[in-house]
Order: sequence, then C-alpha cells, then structure tokens
Amino acid sequence: MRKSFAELNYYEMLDIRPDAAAFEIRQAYDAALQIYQPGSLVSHSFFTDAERQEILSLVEKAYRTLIQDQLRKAYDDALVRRGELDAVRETAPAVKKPVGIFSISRGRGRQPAGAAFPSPE
Amino acid sequence: MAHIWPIGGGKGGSGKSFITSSLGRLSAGLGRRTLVIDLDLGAANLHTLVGVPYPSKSFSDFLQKKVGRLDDTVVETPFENLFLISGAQDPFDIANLPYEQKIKTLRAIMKLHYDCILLDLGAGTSFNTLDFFLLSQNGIFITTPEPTSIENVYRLIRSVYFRRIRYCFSVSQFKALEEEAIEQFGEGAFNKPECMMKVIERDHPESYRELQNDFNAFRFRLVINQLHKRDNAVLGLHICRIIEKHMGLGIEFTGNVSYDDHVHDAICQQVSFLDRYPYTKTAGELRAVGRQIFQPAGRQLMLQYV
Repeated sequence: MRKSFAELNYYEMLDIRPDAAAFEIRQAYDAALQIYQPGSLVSHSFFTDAERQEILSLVEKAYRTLIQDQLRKAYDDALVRRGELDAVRETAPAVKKPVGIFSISRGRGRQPAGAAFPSPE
Repeated sequence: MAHIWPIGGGKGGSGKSFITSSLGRLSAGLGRRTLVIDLDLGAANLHTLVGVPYPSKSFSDFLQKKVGRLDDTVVETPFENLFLISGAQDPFDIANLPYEQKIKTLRAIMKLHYDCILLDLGAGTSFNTLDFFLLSQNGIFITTPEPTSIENVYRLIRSVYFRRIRYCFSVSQFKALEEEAIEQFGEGAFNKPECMMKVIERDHPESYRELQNDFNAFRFRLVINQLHKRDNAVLGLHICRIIEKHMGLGIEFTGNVSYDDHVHDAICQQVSFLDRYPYTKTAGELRAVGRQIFQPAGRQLMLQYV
C-alpha cells in the first residue's frame, strides 16, 4: 500500500538518496519549501492550512535531522533496524598520509617499483 | 488500434484547443493519419484552428443519425494526413449529452481507424468530460502557471481519479465509501480520492487491486502552457511531484510551452502557428512536446468501460 507523506522516511520526503551530501540536503529542503510554503503556486489549493503546516513541520524535522551528522547517523541506524536502509554503505576512500604520497626512494640504484624517471645523482 | 490522446485541463482558456491542433499538425507531419475530434461540447472551436472554418459535417450529424457512422462525419483539413470531426453547428443542448449518446460516441471512437486520435475536451469536470478523458490511459493535462488554472487542473485530476473509482461500485456503494472516508479521515476526505482508496483497500480488496493496477497503468502527462519568462520553469515538475507523493498517481511532466503573442496573431489570422512562426521558441517547445508524446507509445490499452 502506498505510504502517506507522514509515513515516508526523511530521505523519501526530501527526494534524496540516503548517501546525499549536505549541500544536496539543503537544496532538497529549499525545493520542498518552495513547494509547500504558504502562497506557493505549486501547491495552491492542494492542501488545507492545517495539512500544509503539518507537512512543513515534517520537512523541517527531516532537514534538521539529516543536516546534523550525529542525528543523521542515529536516524540511519534506526532505518537499518527497520529494514528500510541497507546496512552496508560505501565509505569514502581512505585519506592518504603524506609519508605514503611522498615515499620516493632517493638512494643510488634503488628505484621504487614502476618509477618512470631515474633517481637523481 | 489507434492511439488516443484525450486532452483536458479543467480551466477554460488554458490552451487545450491550441495544443490539440498543434499536436495534430505535428503528428500528421510525421506521416501518421491523425484525427482530431472536438469534444468541447457547446464550445467547439477546433475547426477554426485547423483551417476548416465552415465544416460541411459535424459530430451532431452522428448523434442525430443523419449519418450512420462517426467515420462519416470526418472532414479533411488543408493539412495532409490531418482530419477533423468538428463540433461546429452543434445544437445548443449538445453540452448536456445524454448517457446513451455518450456511450454510443465512446464506442464509435474506439472503432475509428486512424494512427492517432486527439480528443479536445471541454473545460470543467462534467461526467462527459471525465468519461471521454478516461477513454484512454494516455490523458494529457494542460494548465497555465496561474493559481486559478492550477487549482482547476488539480480538481480535474481528482475528479478523474474519483470517476474511475466510481466505475467499480454502484451509486449506493460509492456513497457508503464516501461516508466511511469522511468518518475515518475527517470532513476534507470527500475531496481526496487517496482517502477513499484506503477505505477500499480495507473493505473491498479485490476492487482495490483492480483500481491500483489501472492507476499504475495510467500514463498521464502534464503540459504547462503560456509560461512567461518570469514564471518558474520547474513548476510542472513540482506539480507532478506533489501529485505523485500525495495522491499516489503517476503523472509525467512533458514540457513547457512559452507564452507568445504570435499565437494570438496566428489564431486571428486563422493560420497554423507552427507554419507561420516555425522558428519561435514556442514552436520549438511544441515540437519537443510532440516528440515526447508521439514517441513509440507501445501497446495502448483501452479502458473498457463501455
């Protein structure tokens, strides 16, 4: 059965992916305000005042939860427990440490594997 | 079987006839035998827009049994492959089409042999308009970026929804569903087909499945007409999003058609806008809308209500 707006999770309410970045959350929140705020042409006559206020409060709550990392993580964990979100999510690639980046052998005759240039004399 | 596209919009003056005639022109230009039917009963003007100011035959000839088949009322237009069933010279009471004549008309339309049939429907939400709109799953809604027009298109969409639900139940059953929805969801529920669907799901699960299947099969489209530069270009997308999210009805935003004074000029000169002003932004947008609509539509299911 189709879920009502109040039954949607916050990502569905804002039409964003669960891995949306902060700027995407802000953009989605702005777009939702454009649609649901009083005087909006898009939703003219679609909602009663009471319905509009309820939707706006849900949108506000969704935004405030998702825009803060800790609250978002707790919310995501709750979604995972409910089976609405996959537990495995892609993590950002590990940040390379400077030693790893600049680990270039400068010793005579010793070149790192795959080196394109001869080591300086 | 012909692909049928009913074109409605709720509000008068939103450009339904202009869009219908333009789409008819575009479809005919693709080499398809295209028929445009003026079902704006009592306010027919499609004949003026397709270059047939004084049609020799009209829809009422079929209703009054002056001809045996609806096909016999078809007239040619100046454009190759484009044909018209006109509503000109219809009697003054044509807007109050009786039920039997409506059913006769619906059945006759389904028997027509054309590649593409466009129905220009009247404004408002009369049962006749709704039943013509529900003849096909490919209805097109036209609205302008004004609160009055948007309100009317929402009302039309809800009415289409309710009318489809009504087909599944008797008058007394439908009334009972209305009362149950109001009791469960409050006074505002009379205006919300999604509330009635929740009651149907609980009390009539088989009918609910049938209705859901139909609603999922609808390929409704929305066109925003007469968009000014200062208007929001994503208005149509947002309207479709609201309908999908809050009514559970899928509707595809097909495109914007910009406001252009030349449309008025073309209508006054009684010439085709696409032919007279082909390089305007509006003409380009009409062609883009036509491409979206006339892409291979695949198998078209006809709603068998008659």
